[in-house]
Amino acid sequence: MNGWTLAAAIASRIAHPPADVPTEPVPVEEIAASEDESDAETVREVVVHREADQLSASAVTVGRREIDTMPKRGAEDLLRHIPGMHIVQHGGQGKGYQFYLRGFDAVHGADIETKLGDIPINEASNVHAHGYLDLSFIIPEAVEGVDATKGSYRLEQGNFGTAGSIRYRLGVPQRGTRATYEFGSTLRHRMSLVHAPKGRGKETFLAFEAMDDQGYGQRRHAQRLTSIGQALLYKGRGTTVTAMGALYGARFELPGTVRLDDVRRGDVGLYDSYTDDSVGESARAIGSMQVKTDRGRVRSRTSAWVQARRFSLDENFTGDLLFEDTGDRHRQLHAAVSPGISTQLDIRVHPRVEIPVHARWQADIAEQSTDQLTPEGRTWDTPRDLAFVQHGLSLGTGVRTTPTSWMLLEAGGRVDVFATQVRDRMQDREFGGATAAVSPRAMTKFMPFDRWQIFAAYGRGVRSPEARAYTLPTQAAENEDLSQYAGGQARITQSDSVEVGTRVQPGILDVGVAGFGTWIDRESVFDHVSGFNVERSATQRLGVEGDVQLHPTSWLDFGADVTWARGRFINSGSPIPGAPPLIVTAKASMAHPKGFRAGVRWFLLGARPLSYGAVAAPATVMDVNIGYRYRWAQLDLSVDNAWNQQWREGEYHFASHWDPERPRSQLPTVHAVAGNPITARIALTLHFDAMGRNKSSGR
Amino acid sequence: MYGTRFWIACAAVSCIAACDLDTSLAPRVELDVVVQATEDTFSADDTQIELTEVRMALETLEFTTEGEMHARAGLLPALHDLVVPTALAHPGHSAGGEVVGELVGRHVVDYLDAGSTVGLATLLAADYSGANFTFTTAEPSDGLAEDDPLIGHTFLLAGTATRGDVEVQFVAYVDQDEDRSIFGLPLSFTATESSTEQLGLRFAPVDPEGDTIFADVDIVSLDEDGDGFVEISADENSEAWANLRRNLQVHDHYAVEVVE
Repeated sequence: MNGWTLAAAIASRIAHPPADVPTEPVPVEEIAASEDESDAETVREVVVHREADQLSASAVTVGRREIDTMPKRGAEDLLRHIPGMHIVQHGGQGKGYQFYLRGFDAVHGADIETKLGDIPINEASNVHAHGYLDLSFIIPEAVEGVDATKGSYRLEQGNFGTAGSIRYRLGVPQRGTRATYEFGSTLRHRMSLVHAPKGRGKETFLAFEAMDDQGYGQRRHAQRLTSIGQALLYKGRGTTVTAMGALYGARFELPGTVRLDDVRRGDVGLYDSYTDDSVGESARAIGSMQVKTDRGRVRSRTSAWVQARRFSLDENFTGDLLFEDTGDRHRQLHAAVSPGISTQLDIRVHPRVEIPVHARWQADIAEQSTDQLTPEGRTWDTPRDLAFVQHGLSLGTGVRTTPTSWMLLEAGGRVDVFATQVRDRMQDREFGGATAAVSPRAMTKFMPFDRWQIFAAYGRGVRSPEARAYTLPTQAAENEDLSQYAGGQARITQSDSVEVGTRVQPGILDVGVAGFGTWIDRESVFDHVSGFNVERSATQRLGVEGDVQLHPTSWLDFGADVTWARGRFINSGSPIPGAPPLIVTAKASMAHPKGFRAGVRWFLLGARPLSYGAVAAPATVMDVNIGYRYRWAQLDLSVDNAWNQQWREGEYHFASHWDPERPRSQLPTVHAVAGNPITARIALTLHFDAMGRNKSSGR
Repeated sequence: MYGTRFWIACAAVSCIAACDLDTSLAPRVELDVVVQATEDTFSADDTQIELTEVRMALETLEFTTEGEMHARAGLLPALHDLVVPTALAHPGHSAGGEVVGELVGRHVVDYLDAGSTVGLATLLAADYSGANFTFTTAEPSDGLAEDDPLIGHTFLLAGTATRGDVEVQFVAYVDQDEDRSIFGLPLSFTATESSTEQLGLRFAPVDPEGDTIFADVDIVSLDEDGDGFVEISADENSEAWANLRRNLQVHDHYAVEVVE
């Protein structure tokens, strides 16, 4: 089939939707009764190629097909399919990524609320970064989908949801037992085993993964072991009980960044590292229980969990700039236990009116320290040694109504309360405080026609203050070193977001456009690079996001999206450093019934503004995956950066001093994190349940 | 095939987007740092001081910006701040905290040699709001003669103190701790790539509030033997030396100014 033939076929499908696509509205009740966890607001639209919550034009779900067919090295790579999202790994696999979304530099997760099911994964007051996200423990084969909501419009969006919220949904729709061995050109060895017993629902599975990857360039060796299991324990009388557990451990090297001027002089390679001993370790354990009930007029979902976490980093980003004699190498340690519980009620008070209620409590009981190290690794100073307990309590409610068949409205508000008690062992003092914020939320959707939706939303997002912010002085000493002063109050950061958009879904096409804006009056951040608490001036982010998706057959998808975001400090007009103003993505995904499958993703990362007029280079990368399954054996070949572009995944503007022959300049200069060069991975998967069966049943 | 055309288009867009577009560094400018004229005659209480030599050893003059520090205006924020005191990340002294300009290296500044060049500073294009420098002790490698009396010291001040008919010649050798710095010298300057101004480093023996560097240092009365000469040093008269040393640590006695 040539391109024009395909275009004709597409046009024909647009004009004449396939017969198996229902065209009648689906009532709320039918959807509510389904097992799908997406909310029950869908009223009129029936062609839902683009999944997600259907309450904003930009909400998106990365589905199982994309997960299966697209190249990926870990669970973080699934986020690359979210329009407007850019992620950067400035360590080895195992260190949390840096996240950029719609003009936000969310650092290690400070502005992106992320959950595994109902369990919050952001680590409040992590020693390395507030809201730190380490997603390496999630096994991609065990992920049914990733839901992304950009902005802070939903009632259930909580702490860290200032730029958006992400939820990984666990589940294995493809039942059976399968094992995968993957070998990569970076001397990567990865083995995964998924056991999803037939006769049980998709929520029941056991997954295991072991990985050892030397990585590209220097100091990117990473190792990890992880396992996740989930089981439906009880189902009956409108009640389901599910339990989940996860265990994870990882060790990884940290290449840090390289100065661009050193790279240009040839003093260091882009894929090199200044250090030869920087390393990190990460461990996590999770146990959780979820109870869902459906009593007709009242549906509920209650989850309780406890997480244990241990994390350390031994790294150096600045050489010996800060400490000429000993160097700036430092080690961060963080250990935490985080119990929590959340509940969501949907109370139908009228066939067209529901009252949603959300409540959540989580405590983070943690110890953390930072040690300054000599080049030999001996501690010579301990600038931070804290023990703290942080409580986060939230309650939200509102109304969700469909006053007419063409309108849906969800509006309400939530209260977030954060209480912190900190013991600073270095000062031998205790600090504490509590702070609260009220956040209104409202979303509405109009459906003038079956395949046309118009969305409008407003919401306020919150980010809690860091525990260590309570320990900092609130008054500067006379003649204080202003570059070292760590002041600022512990306060909640709030963002106000609006979004207006539309989505048209004629047949096999799915087209959406959304305009968005986010304003933050004042932002209290602890800059983990400099180690200072900074209150920043007001910012705004304005932008447009558009996407087109094409589903010509049941096994073939095309998609393209463009996100343009203009992030500025309002007073100065300066751009928000690091945040990409332009991200363009095109992708194709195929999962043919004959066993062929393929995924291609290409993206363009526009030039990124850095501070003081520096501009990071644009980049463009294409990743490819092709595979074929014959009966019980499946072979996949993935090529990352197929054009072998020498691109810089992240660029930063700060000062460092690595070369003793050069003057110790405090001036910021561009540092780069190398994006991966061309790498290839080949994976063999054996489907044990299909062994010995005939060809047709094996697929 | 449709897919082939699609990816060819992507490749074309990639080339357009990526070819010859490399990272651009922050625009910067190099400006001379010069010595501004110092008030060499002034009164300290009832003593008339005339300075004949003021030299100081410093290391790395930094120029800072407020960056995107939060600043609030209006009645309600002001009322709020009355009730809830607010500290800013880089507060006070009209200065910012982020170093985006600097004159690197060790320098001996002769404050009475107005117009002389201290060095060439590199500044990123930015709005500057402050300056810092660090004291050091002079070394022969700073371009001084082997027998220069400043060697081993941070300051050398010499001059005449006159009270009534009594005139005392004095010389002071003041040492500051290594790494002791002066932070937050006010500076209001917007640097662009095309800036041509000079930055003037000024020593102010009398600060804007009228306090002098010789507060609690009575030079005339230090001349106990009446020979008309006083040496102020750590060994000779420790209390006066300590007071002078402390006074010279006050940032109000220094300024950085834009010279058109």
